[in-house]
Amino acid sequence: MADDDKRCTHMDSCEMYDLFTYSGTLAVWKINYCQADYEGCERYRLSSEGKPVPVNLMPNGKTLRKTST
Amino acid sequence: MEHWPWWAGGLGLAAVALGHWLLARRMLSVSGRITAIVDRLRHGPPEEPDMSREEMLAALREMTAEEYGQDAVEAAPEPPAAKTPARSRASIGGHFVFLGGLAVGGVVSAALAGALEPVAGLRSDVFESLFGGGLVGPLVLVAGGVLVGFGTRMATGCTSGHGLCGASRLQPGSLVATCAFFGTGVVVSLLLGVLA
Repeated sequence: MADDDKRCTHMDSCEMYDLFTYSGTLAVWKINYCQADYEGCERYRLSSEGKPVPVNLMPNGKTLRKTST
Repeated sequence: MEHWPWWAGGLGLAAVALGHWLLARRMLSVSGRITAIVDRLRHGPPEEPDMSREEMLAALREMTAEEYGQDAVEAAPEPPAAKTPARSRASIGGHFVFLGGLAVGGVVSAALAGALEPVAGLRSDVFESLFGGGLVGPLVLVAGGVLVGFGTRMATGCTSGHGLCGASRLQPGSLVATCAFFGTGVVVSLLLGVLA
């Protein structure tokens, strides 16, 4: 129940959230944004303003790019 | 007109919400689908990622290490592959099929009850006595619809998202929203009954 106290309301439609649930390593994003400071998430902000959310946009506002290796 | 017993309606709604989750891996949200259609019309088709899922996961791991440190990444346990399959992106056609299904279901239900007759208002004596049978009734319904849409967007959900799915998961925001719109509905209904 505690986890539900502050949950992002856009979680269900967020494509990035789907990736955060994929592994324990990536869950740190879910814990820090989706289940905590979701109002500080750049994806949430754009979505709340009715703007398109780039698929590679991270909660911290950075864009995900292919790794060099 | 014969109505279904209340408990049968409740069981039916629960079956739809549960079936939607099991089949689509998404919470049932009627307003969410309407929002998705409006967003698609406003912004066009969604951007396709220029990376495969595996490349995205690799890039995500790299950014996670940059943001939270390599130690955090190495300390986090790597569970086996996700228990649930990845959600597929809901197509615009899927949204229309779902919303069309709601309308068709209503028509079939009315036909089975022997009440399939178009009316320019509501089958309600209170509504008829307050707004008559002219143009005012439909205008009031349109205004009501606009207000419902506005409130739904403000609350980021409607009776299906908050009332069925959110409240059943005891989500505080959904409980507040459900109490607000059902409570307001009861008060306004009683008030209109008195005025009529």
